[in-house]
Amino acid sequence: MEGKGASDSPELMAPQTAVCNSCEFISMADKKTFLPGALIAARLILGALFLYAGVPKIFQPEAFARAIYNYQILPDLLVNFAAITLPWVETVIGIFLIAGIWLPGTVLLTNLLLLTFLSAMAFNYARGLDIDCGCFSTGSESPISSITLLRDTAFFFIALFHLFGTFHRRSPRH
Amino acid sequence: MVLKPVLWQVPAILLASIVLGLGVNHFRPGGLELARDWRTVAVAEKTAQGLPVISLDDAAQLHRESQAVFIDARPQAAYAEGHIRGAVSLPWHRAEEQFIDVLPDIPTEQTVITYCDGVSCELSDHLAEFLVDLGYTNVHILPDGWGRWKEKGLPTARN
Repeated sequence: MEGKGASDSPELMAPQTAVCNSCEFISMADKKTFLPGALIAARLILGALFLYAGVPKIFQPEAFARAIYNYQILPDLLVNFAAITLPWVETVIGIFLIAGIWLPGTVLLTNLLLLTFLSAMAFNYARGLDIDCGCFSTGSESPISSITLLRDTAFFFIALFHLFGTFHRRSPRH
Repeated sequence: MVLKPVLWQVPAILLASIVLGLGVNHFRPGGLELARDWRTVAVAEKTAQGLPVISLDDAAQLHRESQAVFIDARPQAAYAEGHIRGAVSLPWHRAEEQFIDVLPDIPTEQTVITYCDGVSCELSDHLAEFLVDLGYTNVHILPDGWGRWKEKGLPTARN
């Protein structure tokens, strides 16, 4: 059963109330099993996402440089540097998220990167540039649209949830 | 202190990734050069594609002599913030709805120069094709028109 084994305390074995009319009625045991489970799921999803985004770009630096250039945000001199290093940042973050290494730093960086990507896409969507998203593969994928913006917003909310979960749990008051 | 590990983990992750990226790029065959003049490359590519590219100097001269109509292919909001003086607005994304209001004043044999912002911007290219399809015979594209026009201090206007 999902969540079993997280604790052997007797509260876990207690039958759950059928309907939760208020969050106050969620037992401590539910909180203790649900939140860590959701955080792990969020971390693994984000880790896989970053690996999926980063690894293909490592093998196509020229195409990725072009995608970055098309965004028209970075100065020309920084385009190739970003194309060379950004896929590795994504890949390292992906590995660290999945393996659970240096989580506070990794999680914060995940949020900062997703916020940067989302802002860049929204900026270019707003100014009407008709360019490829360059989010995952570097081939001819879908251009920036409301769908790619919504998708990245969803990823960002997952990352935000994980950020709050990570720092909330580590706070000395909890 | 919760933030303490973050202070060294974030720079460490970034540094490790940058070292990895630069190292692999250095040793792999066909690695990217660290810096490139993307604007020159992009203009050359547009010319090689057979697009009717016009140089900034030629466009500026035609502008001085009032020999060409400049058409801004960017969204209306960008046009309102600033555009080449005398240019008319025909945003590519609304061209099919709005051309009927804009183009009747421009004869088909008139020299027309389309532009947008950034060399990789293709709005001006699409608009130029659209104009050719409508029968315009003297259509040119000014790559990165707005950016370079501003940089060179050529006449601009707002609204």
